[in-house]
Amino acid sequence: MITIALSKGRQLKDFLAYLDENGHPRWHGALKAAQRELLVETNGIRFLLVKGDDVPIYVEEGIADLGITGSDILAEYDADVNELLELPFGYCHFAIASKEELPEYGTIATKYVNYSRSVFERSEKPVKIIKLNGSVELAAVIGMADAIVDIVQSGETLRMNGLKERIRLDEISARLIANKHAFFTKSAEIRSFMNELKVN
Amino acid sequence: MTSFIYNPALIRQKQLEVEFLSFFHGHGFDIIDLPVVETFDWQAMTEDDLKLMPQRESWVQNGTVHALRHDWTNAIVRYLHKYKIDAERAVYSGPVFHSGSETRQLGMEVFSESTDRQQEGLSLMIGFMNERIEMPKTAVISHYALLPMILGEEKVADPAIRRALSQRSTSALRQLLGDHPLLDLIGDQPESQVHKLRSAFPEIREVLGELTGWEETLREAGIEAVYPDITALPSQSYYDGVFIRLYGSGRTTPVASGGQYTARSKAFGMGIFY
Repeated sequence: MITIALSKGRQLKDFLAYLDENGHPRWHGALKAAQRELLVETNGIRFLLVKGDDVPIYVEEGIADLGITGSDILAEYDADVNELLELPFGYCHFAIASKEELPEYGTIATKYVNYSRSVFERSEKPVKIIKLNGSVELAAVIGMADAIVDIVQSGETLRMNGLKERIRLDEISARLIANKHAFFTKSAEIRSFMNELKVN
Repeated sequence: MTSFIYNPALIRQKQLEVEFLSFFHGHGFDIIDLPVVETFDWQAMTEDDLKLMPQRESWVQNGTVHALRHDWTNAIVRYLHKYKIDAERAVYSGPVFHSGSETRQLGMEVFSESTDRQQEGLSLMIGFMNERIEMPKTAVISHYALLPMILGEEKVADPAIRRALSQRSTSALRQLLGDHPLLDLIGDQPESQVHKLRSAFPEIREVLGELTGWEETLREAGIEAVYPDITALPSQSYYDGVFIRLYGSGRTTPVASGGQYTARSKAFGMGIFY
């Protein structure tokens, strides 16, 4: 039995679409049928449906052997896991967005504090970074911050809140991560899962 | 006052330390001790020292950097750069401090380039763990001479390649190394990788022979499953040979680790974390 932690929400939808397109009816069926269940077992695989931020923690602690999470989460949290594969779904990107275009953004609101710090260090600009856990757009709308650093997929949420993407940052996609010990002790199951995913 | 409280766990911990030191002393190891506070000279810090410093508990006093001991082998290597240790085999116990937390280490060093003497030390270590702590069930074994021979020193020094190797990221390595045969190898199960390495890179046969010898020592000592790790990178530059991580049943972090290193001469050291 292999245990795989999956991000709930948008990324799970993308994963289901990928499974559907790539011929995994049993995994797809079992995961799609899950209503509020957080644990789904099918064909020797136990899927744990957890919050995206928590996927690396489940994997690092060895509760899950594998995990599927976004590269945004891995960029933010310094998880001690193996990042085995870049997966062809969950595409979006980091961006700096604001209400008005400014020559410099002195105050940034974001959920991704560590990532934002690395971005502004690269650009050699001192900024104040405010950590928020959700509804980050609001900070730029009401003037709490000059801009936000967040992930952008379609840009619809930004548009609806009167914000505009100003600088496109790193690309994001889903990643397959593994517990460093399970990588050896469950190598046959892990490699079998990787092959089944049919990622080129 | 805590001294009046009887703490069985603390007593067991002290007993274990005494048993460990006595066990190895009975096998001819000298008992050594080093200061828990290490002193660094700003001007003479090595790359290894600088790399480890963010994880150390450190402070500056009178223009000198002080840090709590991070790892016994590291402390011994630093000591050996300045002084000579007369013992050929040594054993120690004491606290180490990592990123704000304290753990304790029981360890032994064999200051000899004789692989037989080093492997004897490893077998004693596993024997002690089996009798007094817990028998390790699995081992992951690597050899730090492998990657420079397979990829070349220049590629191994590249930060992006190092990150991809440490992550075992097939996607990133494919982008960075193209069609290198290493990519096919890491797609295989660890158990079959050494066999394939032998035929793909005949020049590394000698290193693989060493790896196999250590693997046999681990199996003879009772380790049920031994996995080779061909993409391992050393945490400190003095590690230049075999490196072993031992795992207990159901554990995902090593209960003991150590390997071959060079400091003044060839040596092998291993520590148990408890």
